[in-house]
Amino acid sequence: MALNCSSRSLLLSDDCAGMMLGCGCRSEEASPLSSCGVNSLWWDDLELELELEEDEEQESDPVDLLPTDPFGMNLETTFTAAIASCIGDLTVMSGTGCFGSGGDDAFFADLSYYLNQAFVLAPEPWIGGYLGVFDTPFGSGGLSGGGADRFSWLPPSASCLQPSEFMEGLSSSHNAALACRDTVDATPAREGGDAHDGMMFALSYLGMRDILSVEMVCKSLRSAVRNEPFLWKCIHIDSHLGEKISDADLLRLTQKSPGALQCLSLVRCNKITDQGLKAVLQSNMQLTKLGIFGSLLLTHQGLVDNLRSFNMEANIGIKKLRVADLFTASKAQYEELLSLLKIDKGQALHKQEPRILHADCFLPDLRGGYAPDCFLPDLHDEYALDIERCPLCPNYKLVYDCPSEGCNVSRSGICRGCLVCIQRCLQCGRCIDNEYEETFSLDSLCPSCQKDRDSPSAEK
Amino acid sequence: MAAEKGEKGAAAKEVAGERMVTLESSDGEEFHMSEAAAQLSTLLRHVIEGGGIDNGIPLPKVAARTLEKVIMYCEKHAKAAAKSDSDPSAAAGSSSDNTAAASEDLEKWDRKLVNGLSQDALFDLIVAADYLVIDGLLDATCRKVADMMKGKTPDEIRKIFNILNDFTKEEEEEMRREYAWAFDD
Repeated sequence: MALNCSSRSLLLSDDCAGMMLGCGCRSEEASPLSSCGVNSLWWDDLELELELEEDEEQESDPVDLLPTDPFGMNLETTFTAAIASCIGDLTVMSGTGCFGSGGDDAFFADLSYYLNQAFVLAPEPWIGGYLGVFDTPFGSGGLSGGGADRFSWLPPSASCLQPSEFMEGLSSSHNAALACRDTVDATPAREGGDAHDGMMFALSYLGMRDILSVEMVCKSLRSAVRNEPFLWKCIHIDSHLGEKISDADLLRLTQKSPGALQCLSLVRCNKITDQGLKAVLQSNMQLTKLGIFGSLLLTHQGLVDNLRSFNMEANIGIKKLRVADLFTASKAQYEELLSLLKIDKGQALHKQEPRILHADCFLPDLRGGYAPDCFLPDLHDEYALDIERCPLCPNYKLVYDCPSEGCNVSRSGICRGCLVCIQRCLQCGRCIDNEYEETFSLDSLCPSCQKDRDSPSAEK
Repeated sequence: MAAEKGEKGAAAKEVAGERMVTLESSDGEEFHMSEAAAQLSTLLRHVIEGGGIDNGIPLPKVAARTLEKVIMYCEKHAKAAAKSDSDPSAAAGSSSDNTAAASEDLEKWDRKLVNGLSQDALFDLIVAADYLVIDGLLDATCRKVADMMKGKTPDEIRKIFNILNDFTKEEEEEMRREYAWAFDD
């Protein structure tokens, strides 16, 4: 039972451990400059308990079923003593407003009550302790190296093995940690641990810039980022990064996981040249989807030449191409592009759903790396080429449908044409031929969107 | 009824007309969840369909506190699914409004669940959701962690997640140079 309890304690909140080691060992964590998320979360929980708030998540806490002092360590007294030593160092906690008032005695009384009831915190000192102890049995960086190497986590169902190995290793060393408790208290301030395995799963939810940030955090995360082909299967360079990325940087990014890249999306990559794109294509022969959403230096001829030489050597070839407003194609140019695509049998030539113009497509992405919604789905949509014949002029461009009720949203609707033929509101995509109102910003906005912009309504 | 129970195996017991499944956490604690909720986990669904579990399903990789949250999530989502299934969709317009509102409520509930977790509890839930193959829970928890990392510098990420910087000065400098283009604002 002891081992079972210990393995459970491993999974309890690590941030509590920071408070409990006493002697100001983890006072760094408690400082205002440190992880606000870590400490505030723990103290929020403490607040809840102390105020005995009704919260459905807290109602039947199985922690209450834990034995009070399984290892006979007189945790109550030493624990409170540890808190006491921490309190002296911590001024920030009084700022929460919950503990400052009522004096220290009231606080300790409340705390003892909480400790007696919940014992969530009882085994906590070990978390910090044995992670530190771990460096010795496993060697320096053993956890970081081992954890990451074991962690190539796709397909997801296979990944369940790795964490258990991790946990078994930890629980078996727990007894060692137990024996060294005195040493643990006396160890110098530990600046942090390893990244939790669970963090790796979240990487696929990050944009490119954030992935690069994560790569620079620690060795295990760097290894996870570099060794996970799934992250490099589809590279989306948003407009924020696009403005800065050079040919060499782009090539390096696509080479992070050689052979993985299948889908490349470049938004406003104004420094990328035809030569640069050629190098990327030649190094990533398994690419099947290419999206260029805005570029100053890429040319139509360069693109055609690149596609031609790529398709000659690649096994599969480019199946889906998005060129957006890169150029206005003539019939011959459009047909040439189509002929260069390795279109599957049964694959749609063009977008099947109505194409509506949205402001997102033109505004820079300021949110630190996330794709504007209209682009990636467009690239992952199954059709081959985004430009098509405008019903109203002889050009081949992006053709938009109208979301206006009167204009019948469908591909066969009346109000369907390129942006030159039918002026559209940049915000909502409605046609504004006759209601156009010139603004200082020279943005085309329909009257209702103009009103919204001038006086932001409650809707927004 | 009795014959049905016997066929399915002892793990699926009936409680108040609802079939229950017994799960055992890594530390030996027993939990009960409705079979409908257990169906949300692809792993559990396969185990139940396979039958032959006499004394409950052991989950040595999931601790009690994590399992509790998993069950909470599954029960909530199973109930919501049952409610939307049985919702009389008399007027098509109103039912779609109800569906939208209901799914928004469910999302809010998910957010409240993940926001109320400490970091380690959150990570353990991610690992458990992956192991049990519960897509919705994995998605909700990963989004939360991703939100915590979005737009942060490496140093900020280290502080938030209490991660040790084990790079040498040279390695750090090399990476900073390599990615200077992405980070100079």
